[in-house]
Amino acid sequence: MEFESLFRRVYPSLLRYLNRLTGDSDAAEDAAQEAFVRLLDRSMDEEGARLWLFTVATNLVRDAGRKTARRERILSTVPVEPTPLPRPDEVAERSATVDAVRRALEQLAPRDREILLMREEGFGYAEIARAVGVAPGSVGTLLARALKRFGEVYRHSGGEA
Amino acid sequence: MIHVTEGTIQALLDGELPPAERGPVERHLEECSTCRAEADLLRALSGTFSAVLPVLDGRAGLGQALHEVQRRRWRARWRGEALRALPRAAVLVLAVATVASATLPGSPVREWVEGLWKGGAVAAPAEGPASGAPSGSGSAPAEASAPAAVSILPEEGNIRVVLKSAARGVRIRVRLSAEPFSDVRATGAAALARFRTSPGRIEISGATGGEVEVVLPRSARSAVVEVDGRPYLRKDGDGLRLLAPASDSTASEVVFTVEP
Repeated sequence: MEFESLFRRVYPSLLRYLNRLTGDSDAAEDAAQEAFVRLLDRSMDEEGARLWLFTVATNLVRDAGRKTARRERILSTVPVEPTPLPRPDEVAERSATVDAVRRALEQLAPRDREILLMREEGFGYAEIARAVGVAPGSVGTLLARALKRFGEVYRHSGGEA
Repeated sequence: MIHVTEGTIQALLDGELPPAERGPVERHLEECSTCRAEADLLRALSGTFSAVLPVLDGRAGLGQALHEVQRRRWRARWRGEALRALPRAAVLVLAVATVASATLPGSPVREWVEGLWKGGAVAAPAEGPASGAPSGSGSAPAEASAPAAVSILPEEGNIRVVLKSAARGVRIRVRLSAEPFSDVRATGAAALARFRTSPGRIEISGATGGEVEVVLPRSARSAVVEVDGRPYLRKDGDGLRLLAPASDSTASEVVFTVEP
């Protein structure tokens, strides 16, 4: 397994997942990079490494979350807007959507949020079950309930599809 | 009519339902408007979720991130090497100090050395033996080599750690952890052993000495640590059974020493 090519393939997906999970781009970058640093001491195949990285980074984020009162900050955090600069009305609309999505994610139990976001990164039920520590047979039910909860809060927060 | 569970519908939508179950569930959805409505709802929610999530995304500065990972790695390695070098540096300082003080006229170390040289009955100062001790410990660093570590995830809840052709006296330290993966770390001469991994299995061949630390995930359904085909420890669910005599054990770990 060549480290740099693995890094280029997996890092964007891991960072996106962590950014969505935490709403804190600094914490996301920190956890993603730390997971890769720890991987350097180990030897495993690429598929194993990808799931290992997501699992370790999720645990790092959980540990950091336990140590700080980051949750309150996350709720009020709006990510920096990308270039090119949009029009002011677009900014307002986008901020409202970001806020609605973030609020809806925050209403989910951490485990449900991890399951939903790992599915978005293309992991199968068996991998998700292994990473999160639930029975593979329960992943479908957990996903369905988490999606409903997300949809409910997202609508109440003024979000639109 | 018996309805299909939301979990089953979600698994069908995600393509995760076993082929044998897919047909009956799809037929049921054609006939049952309640379950069809549930499927439509979950499909729509999944679509919304996937569509709105990208608003949270930033950009990944790959080059900078890779540089940062390498920098952190270098720092961690440097720190580790500095810590490893510390005892050697301490020995060196002690040796230099001993030689320096032995050359000082009137110093107790000089008197002691002179006493030894003359074969006289000069009593060693209280610190005397300590200053002589490091010379005997010179062989310790030669044994040390960088530790080797491998991690794997359980395969369907199962983990197997296999030692092959391990020399007599190799120590195997086993403990459980809350992490979902298994870690095997070899130190001393064992760090030079050959590691091979396959799904749910780690094999360490040819450890000629040193120690192999095995961390098993508490969540693993079953786990085995074996040496040349002989199981030393087995974990079934929450139960842990020792199948070989432990040379040491505490509340948190058990240590085996490989016997022929």
